[in-house]
Amino acid sequence: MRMRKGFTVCGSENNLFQSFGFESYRSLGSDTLIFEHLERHGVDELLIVSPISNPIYEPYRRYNFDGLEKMYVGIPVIVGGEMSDSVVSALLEKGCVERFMFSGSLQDNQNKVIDKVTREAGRQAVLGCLALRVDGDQQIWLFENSHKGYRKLKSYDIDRAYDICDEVIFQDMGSYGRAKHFSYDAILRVIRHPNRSILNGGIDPFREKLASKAGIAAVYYDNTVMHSENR
Amino acid sequence: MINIVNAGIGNFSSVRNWVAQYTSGVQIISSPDQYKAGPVIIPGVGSSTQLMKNIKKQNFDSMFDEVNSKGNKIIGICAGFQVLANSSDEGEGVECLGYLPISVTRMKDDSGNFLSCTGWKGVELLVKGETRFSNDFKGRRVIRGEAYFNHEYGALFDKTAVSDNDLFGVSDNYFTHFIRDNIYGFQFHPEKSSGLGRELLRALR
Repeated sequence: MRMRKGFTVCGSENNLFQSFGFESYRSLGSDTLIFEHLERHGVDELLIVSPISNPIYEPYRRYNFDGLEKMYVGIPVIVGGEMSDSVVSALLEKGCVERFMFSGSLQDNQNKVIDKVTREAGRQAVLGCLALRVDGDQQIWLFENSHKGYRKLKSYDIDRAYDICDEVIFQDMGSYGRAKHFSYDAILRVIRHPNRSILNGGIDPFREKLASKAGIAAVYYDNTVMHSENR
Repeated sequence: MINIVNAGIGNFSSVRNWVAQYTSGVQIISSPDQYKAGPVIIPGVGSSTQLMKNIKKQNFDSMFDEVNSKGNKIIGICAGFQVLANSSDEGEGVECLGYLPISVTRMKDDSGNFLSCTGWKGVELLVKGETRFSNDFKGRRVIRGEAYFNHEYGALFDKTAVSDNDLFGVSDNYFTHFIRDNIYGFQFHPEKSSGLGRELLRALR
């Protein structure tokens, strides 16, 4: 199976945004307008994140799925960000999402929301996300939702993500939406199952080729390549 | 009318939006009494065991039997395809509708390692014989394209399960689709398979 090329955007209300390191945002326009153009650009799948740690608006306004519920999108849609029980229940009721991404919930020892999605939507619908930062010594740090800060990545974090989820996104937060490129060498060292791993954050055509050679399941582009003014 | 089953789980809205590319005669039904004569689609994105339990709980299984007896199409997608089988091993396991002589198990490779199939694969749907499917696609010999798959459980290929008039495809030893008379099963997601999916809308007539 060929490596998939996805695209990740941030969402709030009915609009999609590109993110610069989840710290600042620029509107891409209404969601329906973007969906119409996805296939034309050869995108294999779309991840929509409603960022909570640095929300697009204060107070936090998550992405509104009403447009998605009514519109034909010919590729799979994945959602993530603030996946509480009520959000997941509402999404399951709407029936317009193919996969669900969990980041902070992965760090809870017993997470009822992930269990619920696994039970009802199937394990194939569960994606995990490890939000990482690579320092100058090539040490890898994991964003811990509960403390809103980083701690050293442990083997346990990786094993647990693979154990619970069908696929795991290795997201380079230090490169996401920035001119810096994905920390390929450092992060590839901790990947156990390339065919169940997705790379995101500063992906460019060169890293895409490397990932494809390494048998990585998918890469998700963010805005660095799509918008050259960010270079 | 094309009836899309909402058994409490699945991407039924995505499937409705796909069908709406072809016809406005489409509705999502949450109970058997909402059914209007025509094909039925059982969507995927679900555990086949949970989906089958919900189908029984909402009495959709009796409705499917009636739809089937009248020769209307029943189209299963992904988990919706898997519930057309005899049984599924997913979770605690469940007896399914039994419209297709296959069984659903956790996918494994030759060494016994668990497999997950997520992504785009080329598929070929042969159009042959005097079948409902060949009637849908008159003038075509084969439908080719890339299809989107997302599953950890699958229907293991069993050559004794298929008969001469069945149309089927196999990849990595698991069925990609299995079509028998008015029962259409797709392991992949036509509603999320871009161009191939739009081509397969003709199967809804």
